[in-house]
Amino acid sequence: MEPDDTAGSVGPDVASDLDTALEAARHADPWAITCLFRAFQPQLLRYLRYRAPEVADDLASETWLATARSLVGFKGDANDFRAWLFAVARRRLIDHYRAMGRRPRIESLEPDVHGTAVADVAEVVIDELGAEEALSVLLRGLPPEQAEVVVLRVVGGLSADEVGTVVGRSAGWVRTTQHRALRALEARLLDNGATTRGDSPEAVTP
Amino acid sequence: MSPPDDPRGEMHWSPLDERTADALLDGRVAARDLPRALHPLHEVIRQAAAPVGRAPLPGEEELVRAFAAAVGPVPGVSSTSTRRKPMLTRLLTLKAAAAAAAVLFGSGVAAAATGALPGPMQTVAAHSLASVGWSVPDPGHATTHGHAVTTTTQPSTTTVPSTTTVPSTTTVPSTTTTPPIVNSSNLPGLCTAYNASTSGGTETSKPNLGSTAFSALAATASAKGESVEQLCAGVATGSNGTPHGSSTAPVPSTQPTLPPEATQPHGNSSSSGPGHSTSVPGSAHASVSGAAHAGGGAAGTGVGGTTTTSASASR
Repeated sequence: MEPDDTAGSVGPDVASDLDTALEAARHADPWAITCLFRAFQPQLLRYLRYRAPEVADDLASETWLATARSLVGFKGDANDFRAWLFAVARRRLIDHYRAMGRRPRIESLEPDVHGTAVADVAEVVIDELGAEEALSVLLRGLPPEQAEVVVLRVVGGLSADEVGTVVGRSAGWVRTTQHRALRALEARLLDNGATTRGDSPEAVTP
Repeated sequence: MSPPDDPRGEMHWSPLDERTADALLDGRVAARDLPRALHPLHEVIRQAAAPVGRAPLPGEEELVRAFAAAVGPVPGVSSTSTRRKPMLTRLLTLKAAAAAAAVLFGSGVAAAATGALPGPMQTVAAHSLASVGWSVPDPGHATTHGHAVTTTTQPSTTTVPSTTTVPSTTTVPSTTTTPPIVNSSNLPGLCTAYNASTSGGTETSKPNLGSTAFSALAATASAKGESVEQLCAGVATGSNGTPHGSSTAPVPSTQPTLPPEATQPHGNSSSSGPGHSTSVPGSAHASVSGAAHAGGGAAGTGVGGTTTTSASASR
């Protein structure tokens, strides 16, 4: 299998740039902090919006400042930093819901993704989905644990090992969980006849 | 069809094994390498991942500023000027303390004894030495000494934080470029120091005529057409009197006297640090004796003493 750079994670050059930026950010270099922010904030926001859309921006800001305060003691590269960022965000999220006296609304995530109610996958051409719609399609009907793993893997760009660290589970548990999630999604897509433009015309839903 | 009904996907055969699922989520696999049945899944994942742009984001400036402000200090690292500043201050404070100690207990006593230290330092020195029974000029009481200092030294453009018993921003008078002629009343002290140095016998304790104090002595001798030895031979040295009534007054054995080369102008500092200090036997003691005769105001020793401070601080 060849690497497919179009999906998800950053390429090696960018990763090495981010490693450099992380080192400079330790010394409060504004340019470096901006690099990290632009690289990770969109992912972080999408993760938080899926869990708590109404406070996502505030939680993201709190997350960045919390990591800044602890950056001195942090050891690792840019990928480790990103995993740490998501772990901090997840704790903030849990604290937020504790303070609100309720559980995270993971179950009802579809309408919360930018308020976009996505029709059944069979009704859309997969190629034309926006990122948020695609995420909604991806997560629909998944149990909360599976949904969180998929979001962290796809939106966060974290590896299975990193997701395990973030959610406090083993990498093996993450791999099993994500496999179940994709099997369910695959079955649903097939059942609904969803397809891509490259497929045979008769299979495409207009 | 719901996932809980078929958590293992056993209802139909699928090419989607655990490894392929992992590769799909990593974005490590291209569509062309997948069975057609997995193309929709691949496409949904690819679009949901949506490569991140590098465009400015809302609230970016504020967050970057807040982040930079929140980043804690990095121990032992100084890569920016804002971080270097406190480190430098701390370092200089330590050096200042060491230099001040050297001034008070080292050969700087000679300068203090002659009242030739800069005003604030002289005051401190006078009070400190008074506490151990030595009387040296205090500019607060003998303005002529302060005057002598200001007329025989020139303000340094270099900030020498070492001087700091006074604030670190105080500039210290630096050496004059031409050695001043030694006031005749100060000759005994200098000669005693010179003789003591030469009689020390070791290579390291040889008087350094390049040092400011001794160069003043040499200049004085030269002006008279004599060698330093000849000049000093005609000068009664400290054996005939000390301010505290005893030529054998104990000099603290731990006295961290500076090597002769340390008295060079700080722009030409030698490599030896305080840790390598070579004792100049009797120099401080002798100078105190000299002060008893002179009553202070020696330009040469004053400059030398100040330079000593600078040299030790510049390391």
